[in-house]
Amino acid sequence: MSRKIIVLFLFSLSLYAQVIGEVSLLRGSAFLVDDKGEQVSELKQEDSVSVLDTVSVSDKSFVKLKMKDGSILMFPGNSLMKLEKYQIVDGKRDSVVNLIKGKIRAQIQNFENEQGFVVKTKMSSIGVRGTEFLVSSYAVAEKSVTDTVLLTGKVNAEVLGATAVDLAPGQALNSTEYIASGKVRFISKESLSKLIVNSEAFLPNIQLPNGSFIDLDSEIKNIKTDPTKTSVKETVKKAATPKSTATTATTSSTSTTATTTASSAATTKALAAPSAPGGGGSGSLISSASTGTGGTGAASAPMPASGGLSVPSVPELSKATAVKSAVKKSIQYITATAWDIKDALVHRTKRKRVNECFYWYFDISSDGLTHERFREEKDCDEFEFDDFELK
Amino acid sequence: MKMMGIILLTFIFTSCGAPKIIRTKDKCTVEKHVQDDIYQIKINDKPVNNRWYLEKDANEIKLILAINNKCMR
Repeated sequence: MSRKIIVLFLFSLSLYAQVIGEVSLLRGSAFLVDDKGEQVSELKQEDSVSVLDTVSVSDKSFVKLKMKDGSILMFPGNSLMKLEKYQIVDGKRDSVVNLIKGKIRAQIQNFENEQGFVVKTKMSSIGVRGTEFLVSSYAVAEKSVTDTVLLTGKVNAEVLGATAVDLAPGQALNSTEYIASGKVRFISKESLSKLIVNSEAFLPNIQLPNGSFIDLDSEIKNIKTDPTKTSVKETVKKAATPKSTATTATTSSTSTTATTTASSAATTKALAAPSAPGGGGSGSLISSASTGTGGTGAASAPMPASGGLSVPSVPELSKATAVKSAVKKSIQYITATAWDIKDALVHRTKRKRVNECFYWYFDISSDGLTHERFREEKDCDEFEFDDFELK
Repeated sequence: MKMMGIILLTFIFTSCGAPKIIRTKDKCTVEKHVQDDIYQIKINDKPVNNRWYLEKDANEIKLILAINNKCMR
């Protein structure tokens, strides 16, 4: 009888502490922490991780987790994440990784159910479909911000307070920018290749602490290339070899993205080689060349439905007008001080057409010491209803 | 009673008359925020409200104020 109880106890214990992966690489130090953030134990290489574990990665450290399903999750220093759920039942995965703060680089194995893997942050939820992507979670002026860039495959990003969007490889999303303007950025072909080749590179924060946005391509350019990996040129060359199925996707995507920036067109070319469907493995041609996990067939990396993108159509402009307009926009961007003003400035004409205008006011912040700026939306023709009372 | 009636009638007749519009001499200005690229509308150097606008929007409001005789054009 007592033996039965022991077996039952051990069985329930094994269910509770369900091992879901192991630390395959550790540089520096990382800890398992409890809900209050206090260290429970130090992680070592080849240690196993279980469901509900919260991992805290120390400053200047690096942790690589190899999950049971073959997926790889990488975290740089100052990252904190909780493995909230990781179940694989009958070939179907149901996993949730909560990125509380910091960054993650994930190479996700493809499974039957499309969105069986979700990376959750305070601001968004990213559903994954056999892919490789980078996510950063941080705060700007005490507000949570999430950046996502897709390298290969397909992800569906749900941003709190905005409609969900399917990202295509090379697209980068900043939650603040997306909520404010519905804008999804493109990184250049070179940047995309560089991020893929540098298999341990993470996404730089798109937004600075003062709220302004960085030039993502320049930041990525500064990432040091890992010489042991495939060269950028080689990857781009492989990426540029179109498969028959991919060509159609590229053509349709070109029409969608051509109106955004010059770099978007270049990116689209780089995306021309999502691998042909087959096998049920993971990664496109690009990822198999760079990460070395390919060769098992690949999930195709189709372009997202145009409905998922918030790219407005703009009438065709002459070359000179286009350049003039681009310069004017750049000057406005540079001279403006903060992202919320920049956004309003750049999209003023477009918004005015739909009677959307903004005003700002200053209020004392929660610390009671500084004045914080707030932006409010109003109808453009609402001026006469403003409180025009002489003080 | 008769007196009251006369007063009421006088009041009704005089209230129908439109007074002459006197153009205001108040001055409207648009001033930039010290740090940010946003602007506030002032009449005689007093802000009309606590709101700040984009420069073009602020100038449009200034024009509307002038049209409504709140300040000189």
